[in-house]
Amino acid sequence: MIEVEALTKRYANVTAVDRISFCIEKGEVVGFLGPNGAGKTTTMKILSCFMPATSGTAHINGHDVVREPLQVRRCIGYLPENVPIPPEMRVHEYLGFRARLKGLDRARRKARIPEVMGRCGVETVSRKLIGALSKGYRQRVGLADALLGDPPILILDEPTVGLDPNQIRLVRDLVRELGQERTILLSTHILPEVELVCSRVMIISRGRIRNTDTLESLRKGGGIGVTIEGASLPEITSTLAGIPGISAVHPRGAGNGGASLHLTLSSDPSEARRAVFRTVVGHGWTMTELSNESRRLEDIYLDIVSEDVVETTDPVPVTAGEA
Amino acid sequence: MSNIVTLIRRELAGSFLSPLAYVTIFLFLLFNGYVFGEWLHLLQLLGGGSGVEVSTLLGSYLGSPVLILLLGLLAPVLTFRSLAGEKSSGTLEMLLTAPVTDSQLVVAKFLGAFLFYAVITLSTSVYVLYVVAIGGLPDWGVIASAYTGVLLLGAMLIAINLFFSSITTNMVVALIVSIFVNLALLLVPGFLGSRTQDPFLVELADYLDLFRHFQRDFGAGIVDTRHLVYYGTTMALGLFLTLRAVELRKWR
Repeated sequence: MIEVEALTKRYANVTAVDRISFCIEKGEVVGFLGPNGAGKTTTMKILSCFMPATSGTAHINGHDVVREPLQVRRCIGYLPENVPIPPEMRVHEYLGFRARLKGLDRARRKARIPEVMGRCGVETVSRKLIGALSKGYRQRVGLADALLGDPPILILDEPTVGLDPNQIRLVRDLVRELGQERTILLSTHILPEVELVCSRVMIISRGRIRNTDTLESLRKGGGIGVTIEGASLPEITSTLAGIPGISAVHPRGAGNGGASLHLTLSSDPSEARRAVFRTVVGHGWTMTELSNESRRLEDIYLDIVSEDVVETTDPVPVTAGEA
Repeated sequence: MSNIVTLIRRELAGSFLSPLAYVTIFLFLLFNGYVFGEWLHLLQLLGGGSGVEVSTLLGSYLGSPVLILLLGLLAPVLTFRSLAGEKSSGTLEMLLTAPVTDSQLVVAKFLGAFLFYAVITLSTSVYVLYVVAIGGLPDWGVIASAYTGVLLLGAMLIAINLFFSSITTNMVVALIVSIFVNLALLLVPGFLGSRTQDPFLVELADYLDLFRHFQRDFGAGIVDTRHLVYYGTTMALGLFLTLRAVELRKWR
């Protein structure tokens, strides 16, 4: 459905997108997650054929975004950031105009416009000027527009930014509903949104894709939580960090029940659990708690993103910027 | 093709559903009507109070510097928002991610502004009706050549001004640059011609002098192909540069 291969976009002296490759299958709802300026918007502008990449290729439904831009545009519905739609038009006029541009004939327009307005809940404002609408309604008019041509693929750039909590819920519900029959690529920097709406997440930072996996397996690759009595927190931390199979130790604090830590596992979890248990017993400590802990998306995200911020001695100086 | 029609409809709806079109038409006709009245008065004085040749009258008005100068100021008003406005509000992205090519957009923007211009300028044809109503016999050839000139001049200026609208996101900048470039196109050749004796420059100035085109040719029933070449090529250059400027987003 969407195939991206070594896509790079360089502005004058800034590399916004750096050799990213990914593939999105039919029916997936993929969250494109990253901090501001990571390259999400740039990637989406390339996929929607608004501008070409510096190098690399992207195919949508088998069509190359550079060679066959019109075919690509016909099979995607694109909602740009901030939904730039003309304030001087009425909602039904605007949708009529867009439907004509997308090549819908009169009969299909007559059927399709009320349908998408109903779907996105904008029938009640159909005669209002777009400029007089609240941000939530404008967002939904933008979504209605994206749906007009009944495209199999939707590309939504930060669809919930700037909305109030109720509007956010409405838009998310709509996206989730749409995701049952369409392929959706949705960018956001709001973590819960990905967990609520998406089946897979791609984390992008400074122009590169750092991690891509389904939410389930991201969470599974988690770790264990332990509470241990008998020594000080730093001592336990340094001891546990020496166990093979444990990639990171996050001390969480010491309380009545002992020192509490989260261990990130790199290898076979059951073997690592045994190793931890043996170590604790070997030191004469008492383990009062051991539990499987799935990692939260937030932790994964922050690990990746903060890693990038710390990496100041990057051999290839790459600065990310949003267009 | 249907895309161009759709885009032009949107352009015209945008103009005629907002006060812009009506304010522009109203003021244009009001001012023109006043100047036309004064022009009649002047010619009557010169003609000794009666028996003015109606053909001379209309032809000379349609070719008058006042009208041409006014058209030079009208074109920027019709184009300054065209592309600069779409760019600054971000709606250009919506247009160019729909199945629309860059050249369709440029052609539609041009034709949208040109049709608006045609509506405004052709509304001055009420003067012709007025002349007929007071018993004059207009020279239809002169009227036809004068309107041909007015429309061609408009097409040229709109194409050039569209280019200035395409290279900036600031509409005020597009407006001001367009106005001054148009004034330069109108005024500089005349001044140049009067300052030099060099036969080549004199001829060049004559070739480029828009006022003189109207006084000597369009306003006298002559459609000179040299003028058509000048207006036509300049228009084509303007549209070509506009298209390049719209495509420029791809090469940043």
